[in-house]
Amino acid sequence: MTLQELYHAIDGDYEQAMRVLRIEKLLDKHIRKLAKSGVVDALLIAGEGMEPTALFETAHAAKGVCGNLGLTKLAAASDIAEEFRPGNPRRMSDGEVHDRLNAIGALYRKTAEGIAQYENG
Amino acid sequence: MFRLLICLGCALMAYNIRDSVDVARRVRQLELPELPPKLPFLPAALSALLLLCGLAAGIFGQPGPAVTVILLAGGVLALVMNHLLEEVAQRAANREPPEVEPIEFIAPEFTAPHSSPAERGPSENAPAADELAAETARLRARIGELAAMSRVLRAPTSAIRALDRAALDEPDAPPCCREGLEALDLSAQCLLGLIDGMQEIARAEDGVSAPRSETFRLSDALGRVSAVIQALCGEKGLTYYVSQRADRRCLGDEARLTEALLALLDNAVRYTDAPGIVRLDVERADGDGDVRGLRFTVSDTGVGMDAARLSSLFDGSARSLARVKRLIEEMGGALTVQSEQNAGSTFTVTLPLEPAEEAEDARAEDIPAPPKRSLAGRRLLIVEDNPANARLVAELLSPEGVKTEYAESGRRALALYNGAPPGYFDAILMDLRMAEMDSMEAARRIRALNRPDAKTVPIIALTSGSLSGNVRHSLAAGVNVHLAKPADAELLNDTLRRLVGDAREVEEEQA
Repeated sequence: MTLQELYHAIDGDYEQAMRVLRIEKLLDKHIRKLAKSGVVDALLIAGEGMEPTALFETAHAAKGVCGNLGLTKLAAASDIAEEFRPGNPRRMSDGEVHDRLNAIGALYRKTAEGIAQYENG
Repeated sequence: MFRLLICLGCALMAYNIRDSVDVARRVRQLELPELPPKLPFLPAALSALLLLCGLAAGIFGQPGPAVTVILLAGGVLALVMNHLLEEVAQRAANREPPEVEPIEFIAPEFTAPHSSPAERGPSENAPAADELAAETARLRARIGELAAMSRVLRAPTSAIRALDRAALDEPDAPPCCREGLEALDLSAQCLLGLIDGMQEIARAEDGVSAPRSETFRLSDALGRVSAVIQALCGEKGLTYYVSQRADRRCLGDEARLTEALLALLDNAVRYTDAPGIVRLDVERADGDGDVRGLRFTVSDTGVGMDAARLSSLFDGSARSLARVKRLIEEMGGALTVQSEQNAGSTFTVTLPLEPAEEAEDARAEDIPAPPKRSLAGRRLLIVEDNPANARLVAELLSPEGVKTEYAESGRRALALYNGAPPGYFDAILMDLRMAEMDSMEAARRIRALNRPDAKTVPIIALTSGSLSGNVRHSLAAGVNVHLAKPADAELLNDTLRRLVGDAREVEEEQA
């Protein structure tokens, strides 16, 4: 499986990732690190406790990492970051936040599975 | 007391939104092809923004008399605007039978007889000619109505903008309210541009309209477009990205460009369901002969189109898109589309937008082909409240030989910069929005420091699409350049080379 095939399989934006990282070697390194970094797992765990500060910080981190890696759908975690950014009014109900996190979780599992297949060749 | 009045204003605004949507639907049902497709819904968007401002001020702010009066007056003006729109729509409905063809068909071939007079009897020919003449007169009258409507709409829209600017000047306005007011200002500017476009259409009927050649800054135009589309995406639960990899002062027709981009982005929002993505990418399109152009790509993750729909897209069945194509072609550009059912659509606009003369461009942010200055040994201060992002940027720059230091907030960056000897940092790269002292405030304070490099150290802000409305203010605060997030590595390197080199030259001249 090539990196491009991986991005196709996980609905990522390969061109965007390459614009940020420039060389495939770097992209390979960082996409492999995604699951190990636990950055999206931390967001999903924060969602269980619904603690605003933790939700903001983890969503903010996930948004940045996924955005840089061209994982644009996962980077939609930015909604959660804006929802819990200090000073911002809440716009979603807790139920909607859970729904959004569930969608992110499903997408992340698909992404992690794709990366595992990529790592196994 | 003020909170009560603000609640009253919010109720008025909620009524305005419902009223605006009704009016917009009725105006749309009239299918006026010369009406910019976004226009009917902009009053609703303005009312929604005012409502948000009211809620923000009422719930989170400390509302004073000025903010309260301004919000109430804004509500009343929006109400008046709705009624004016409704009245003109009603008049247009009364004048126009529904079967009238769109204005695009008033072309010479339409008015020309399909058969010679000899083939038809006088009794058949005369009524047809009369009918055509009457129809043309009715259409011209309708254009007159629209021109009148645009003149009527201009005054309350200008008033809303003036009141909004007054509210922005209020020092006590809370930050969350200020952000809404900024977006409202951009929406009002956009609406004024569309109103001017309607008057332009009326002038076109008199044969005096051609694409304009005026100087405008691309980032300003994109900021106004993005403010409207961000609001629409927010309402629908979509994510909106803007990636601007080129900025320049352009010579061209800003009103036509704005209208075309708004229509394409509005179309993308309409056919994309949550949690989908709508994005606008802007980049240079050099290499097409001698033309120095720009490429605007509007893409979405929406329902897409099948081949049959795609092949007939611009033939008039989707009138707003047919109009966009015509606008772009009038500017000498081209519009192409790629789409797949259930996989989204991508519209690509290529326009020969010439850069304005350098002499006119006192603060050019165009990102030209950079001189190949080395970044080896340069030191960059990365200010970013997301450590993972900061590490990535440091890693991207290390092959260039750039040394990096990290600050997690604007406050920490200010302390680090002020504690270092002059010339220690060659540039500062800041996330626009941070919890503890944002980049605007940090840039303002850095520029105000009493040290030789305070005015010259390049400051680059990384901006997400949703914050494009803040660009103007942060430039005023002392930021040199905005780059869209996620940062394009090549663009970041080129920008650093250019700015660091320029700053060194200025310092050497001063020395």
